[in-house]
Amino acid sequence: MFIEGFSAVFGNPMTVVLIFFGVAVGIVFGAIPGLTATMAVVMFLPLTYTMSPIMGIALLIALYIGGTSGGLISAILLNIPGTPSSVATCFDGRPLALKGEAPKALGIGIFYSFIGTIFGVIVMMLLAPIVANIAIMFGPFEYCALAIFSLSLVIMLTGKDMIRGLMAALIGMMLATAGLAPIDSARRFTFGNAQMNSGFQLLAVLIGLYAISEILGAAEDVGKPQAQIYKGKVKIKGLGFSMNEFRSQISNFLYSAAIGTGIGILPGIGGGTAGMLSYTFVKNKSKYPEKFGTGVIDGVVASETSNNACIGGALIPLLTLGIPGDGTTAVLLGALMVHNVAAGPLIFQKNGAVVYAIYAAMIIGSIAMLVIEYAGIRGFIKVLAIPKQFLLPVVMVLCFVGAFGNSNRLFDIYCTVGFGILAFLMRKGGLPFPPVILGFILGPLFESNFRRASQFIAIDPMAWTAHPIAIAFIVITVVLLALNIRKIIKNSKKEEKAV
Amino acid sequence: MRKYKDLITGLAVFFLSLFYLINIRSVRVFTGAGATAINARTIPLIEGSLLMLLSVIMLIRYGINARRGGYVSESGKEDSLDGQPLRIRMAVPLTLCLLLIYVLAIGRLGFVLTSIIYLFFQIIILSPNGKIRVPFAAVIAVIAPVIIYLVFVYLLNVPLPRGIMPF
Repeated sequence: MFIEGFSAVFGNPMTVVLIFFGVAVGIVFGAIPGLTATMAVVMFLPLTYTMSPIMGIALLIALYIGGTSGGLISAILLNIPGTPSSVATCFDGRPLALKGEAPKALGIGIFYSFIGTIFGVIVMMLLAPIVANIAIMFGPFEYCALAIFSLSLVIMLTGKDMIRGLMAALIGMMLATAGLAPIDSARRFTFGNAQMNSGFQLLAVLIGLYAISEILGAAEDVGKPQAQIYKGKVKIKGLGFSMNEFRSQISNFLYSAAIGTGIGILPGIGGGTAGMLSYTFVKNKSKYPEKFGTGVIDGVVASETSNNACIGGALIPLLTLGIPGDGTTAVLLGALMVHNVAAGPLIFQKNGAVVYAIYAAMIIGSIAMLVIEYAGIRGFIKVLAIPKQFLLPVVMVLCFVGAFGNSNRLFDIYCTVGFGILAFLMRKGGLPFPPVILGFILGPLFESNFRRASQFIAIDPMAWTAHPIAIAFIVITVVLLALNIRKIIKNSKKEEKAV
Repeated sequence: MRKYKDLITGLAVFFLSLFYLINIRSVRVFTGAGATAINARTIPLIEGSLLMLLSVIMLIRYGINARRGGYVSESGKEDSLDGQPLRIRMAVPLTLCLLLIYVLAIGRLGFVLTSIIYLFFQIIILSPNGKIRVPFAAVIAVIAPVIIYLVFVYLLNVPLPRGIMPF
């Protein structure tokens, strides 16, 4: 089956061409803020109906890989994450670009996207059934504890002004409470508007916070002298970074890849959280945490490795348990069904060749992503040469298309502008955006699992004691929080003394 | 401005949390079989209360720092827009107005017409002094929405608001 699956992909030039095409289209979708990998997979799903299962699924996997990686381009060049997965790439990618090191930032982002994806595929190939069994042990208690753990990272993400970071995270969590409540579907903060029943879309929040605030920021700076980042030819040496830089990032890569794959395996969390988790972890472990956010390559490595390693992780429960972790994998599950491939514990026995073909498609897809993105670096960077007054309004219109196309509702465009105004006010008040996104993603995960766990506790008050993974997460959270708060207090005392 | 940043942010967040907490009362609580003490109001109540607490802490911090004289006015450092044309001084409110007009008009006028109007004026607003190129702005404003519309509607089958446009 291994040989059958791999030869079906490697031995068929048409499949390889389709994968390259899928990755290229995926990159475009990922790079344009508002358009996502999920949208690309949904749009191309009907095209695969007439294809063989292996060709069809290979094309969709290629779109998924391209769509996840493409987000780094706009994150680095425009400070607008193309997808939720690339939010953390903005933190250091954009400052690097502003320093005139956009080729390096892009080169690092592309290369670590590639090896991050390969890491996820290797884990998937070697450990899929074992890892899937661990993932199935995660119930409401574990998810609840994991959400608390991830939310506690806000304190580590925000650094000096913890109050503002926590405020931003709570605003994100509060925005996520609008719509129908988990478990009992009670209407909350809908103000009688039926459109509000499904709550706010992550895409609308993301576009509002990043794209609209960027255009408002440009409007604020219009009277100030503009710095031209790129003029003339773009010079790139090799992959964009040195061998020494590569060696210095080995441990960061391994940690981030492990975090990304782990988060990917757990349904409902996604690449955005994985990127931020890895970024925070690498920042805390670093010898120079104060430099993070000013344009260090470690930040780009952490985010891009992690969000791409998530792909392999997310496919593990999808294939072995039939559980989709996010919107894209849910569409992929539908695609598998359309092609008569039953995802679940028996997939290796019944459709082993398709599973190995998916592995092969992911490897070729990663190579295609590396080749296409490196080939395009010079073209991508030329975007920076386009005057802001032309570039940003056109990007804004594309964002509106993305917001509308997500679920064909004008309501999402209204929300986008609403969140843009909120973002503008937040920026004036010094409130950071990343905790808002983290709170918005993790808030519902926490609430739904907290309420489920409470139902177990209502039956047996000691039910939580049977969940060692959850207890471990809580203990780690408490220890990390205590250490970080101590560090923050120490640093502020030092600063006070210095003043 | 920095001097009042904590005060203004604290007050704004306080009123935001107050508005949120007041609206929790309108959430209906499920009381049937299987209901627990943790209901649809619990988490919003915790989140709203925590946000209010943080805003109060920020206001207290402002009070303490203001008494110590810990805030330094940075108004002198800000780039002054005095002497710049009205278009530049009003660029932010004008952009906000354009965005609001865009969302209000897109349903009636459709994607193409609304985007043409938006792009044209937005390009003019964002153009630095002396670099306004009206014909070029007009060309981009027309070409970009038309291409986007054709690609999305006819190539990718993503419907966009048609409005009064016949196609």
